[in-house]
Amino acid sequence: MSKFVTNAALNAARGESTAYDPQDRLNLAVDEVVNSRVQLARVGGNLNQVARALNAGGYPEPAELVRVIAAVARAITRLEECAAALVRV
Amino acid sequence: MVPKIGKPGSNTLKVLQYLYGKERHSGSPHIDPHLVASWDGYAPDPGRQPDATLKQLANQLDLRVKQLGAQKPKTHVWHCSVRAAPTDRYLTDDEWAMIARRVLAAAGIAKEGDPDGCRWVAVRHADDHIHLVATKVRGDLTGPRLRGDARRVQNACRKIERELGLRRLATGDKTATRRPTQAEVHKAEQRGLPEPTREALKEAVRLAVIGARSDEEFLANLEVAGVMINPRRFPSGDLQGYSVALPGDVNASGDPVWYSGTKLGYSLGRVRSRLAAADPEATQPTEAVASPAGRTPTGSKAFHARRNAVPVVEHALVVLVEGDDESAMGQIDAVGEVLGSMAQTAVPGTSSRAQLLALTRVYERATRSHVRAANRDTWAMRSAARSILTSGYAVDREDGAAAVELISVLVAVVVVAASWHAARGNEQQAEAARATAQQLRQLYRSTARRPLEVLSARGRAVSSPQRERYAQAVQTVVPEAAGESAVQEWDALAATLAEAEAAGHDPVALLERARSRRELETADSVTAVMVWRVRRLANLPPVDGAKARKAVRPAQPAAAPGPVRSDPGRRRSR
Repeated sequence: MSKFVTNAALNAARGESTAYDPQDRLNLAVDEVVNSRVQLARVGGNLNQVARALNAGGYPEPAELVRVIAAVARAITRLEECAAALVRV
Repeated sequence: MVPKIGKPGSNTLKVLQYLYGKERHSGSPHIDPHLVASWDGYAPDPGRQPDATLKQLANQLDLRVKQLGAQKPKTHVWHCSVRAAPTDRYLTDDEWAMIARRVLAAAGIAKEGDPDGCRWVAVRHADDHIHLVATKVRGDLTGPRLRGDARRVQNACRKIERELGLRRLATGDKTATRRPTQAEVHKAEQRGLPEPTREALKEAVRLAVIGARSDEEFLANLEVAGVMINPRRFPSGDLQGYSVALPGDVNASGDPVWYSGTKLGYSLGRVRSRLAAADPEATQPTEAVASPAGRTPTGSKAFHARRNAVPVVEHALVVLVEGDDESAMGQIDAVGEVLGSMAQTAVPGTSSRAQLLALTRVYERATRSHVRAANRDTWAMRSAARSILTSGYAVDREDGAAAVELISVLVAVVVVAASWHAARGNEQQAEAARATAQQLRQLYRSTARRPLEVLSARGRAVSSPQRERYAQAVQTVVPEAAGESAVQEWDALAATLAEAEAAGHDPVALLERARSRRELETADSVTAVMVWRVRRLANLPPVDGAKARKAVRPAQPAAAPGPVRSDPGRRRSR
């Protein structure tokens, strides 16, 4: 994102068009996907902490929670594949 | 905890293949490779997740690099291993994960809480170390600021050691000489050499400086040591610099591998500032009390060279305590040359020679710090080193007594040097000096054993009224000694005092003089110290001197001042 702002600002200062350069658009998309990954990884981290706290308290992890954690990991893999595909374009 | 940043690479997958694969080089096999941490905790781990592949992991690490396309840096892989000391306890994966985060934050790869930090993983495939692999493109597609990463990572490790209660390493100050590279170590192993060329050359150069009075003498010493020399000269013929190589150490095209003096830690400038005074014999101080009986003292040249070096080395104690930093550093530096000269004149093949060579090498670290050694006051010590060197091999039994006293004074000086360094925060230097003192003490014990035996046998033969008289003198003059229960040393002191009295000295006056010297605590009991001091002050002959052994003179080219040089090149090239 900061990279995009920098580019746009520089272009404006130079009096060039601030319209999206195709490469910038791609980079922006990659950043967006990676940001989603960051958010998702944080959620996953929190869920892991919940699971650990339950374990420490002597409770078994609810099957629901285990499934959600696995789903987060899968979603992250998908997002990463998406980012890789964008880079390859 | 030793962090080691490797050469930057250009292939992420290859590094991962090595880390996850079977080991190729000698060393420990890779056991259960897996990730202990990654940039967001969700990197695929081919070691733990059955459907994850190395290719996937490499691709994820490389995402930002690929985004740059043709503008990607030439080398984009950052690699650093972090190894615990063998004495450290087992560290869990979680502990290693914490260490990885701290090290990467210190390096500048990924700061805590930075969403645009570089992508990285920490791979563990052995109990005692992890590997950190990162790609050097940040999320905002700029490069991380890595300048000075090695020093920052080292400092972070010092902190981690303290927090986790691990073995604490001495902090460096960038004054140590360069260690051999991994390639040099492997080459030495393959050729069956006991040590890498760089180490052998360092020692050859260090020893060649001792006693040299000019550039040319220094080069001649190197030549005697069997080292190939490539001097660089100005058109005037003056030396501009030099490099050395070991015979038989060649590169792929068969040319010798040259090491410049600077890279070995002995630039020509450093060598020149350490040249000995031109005329050592004229400046040799003596402080022995003239023998009233007018007897000429016996003993070999080697014996006297050692005995005369004692007061010179003793003077270093005064400088270390009272002098400014530069002079003190000069003395610490010159002590290394005395040690080196003793090492070179010890009879080849003996254990004492091996011990001396080893401790001289350890001590070398203590001679380098950010304090510039002032060499104006060290000519006496350098000249003493030179006379030890030119006086021929020391035959242990004959020169035992003189060597013993010299060693015991050296212990005192090196111990003071260790605390001098420690007080200035020179941790590595202080540790080197402490280790040297330890080894010197051992050497002292083995060297002193025989002369003490001979003397105490003589002491037991002294008549009892005479012994009684000496006992009283010792009681009044050196009460510290009287309190000790050192039977053998006491017998030796009685024999020494009897010998001195027979030569026309006053035992009480001698003891008083010996007592007035600084530093009674050195390597041994006060009584033993008194034995060696009285012998020197009364200029008594070597302990075994009655048998009039001839000094063994080693064969040497007439031009070379040094009698023996360690000869690594020649020995190894065959």
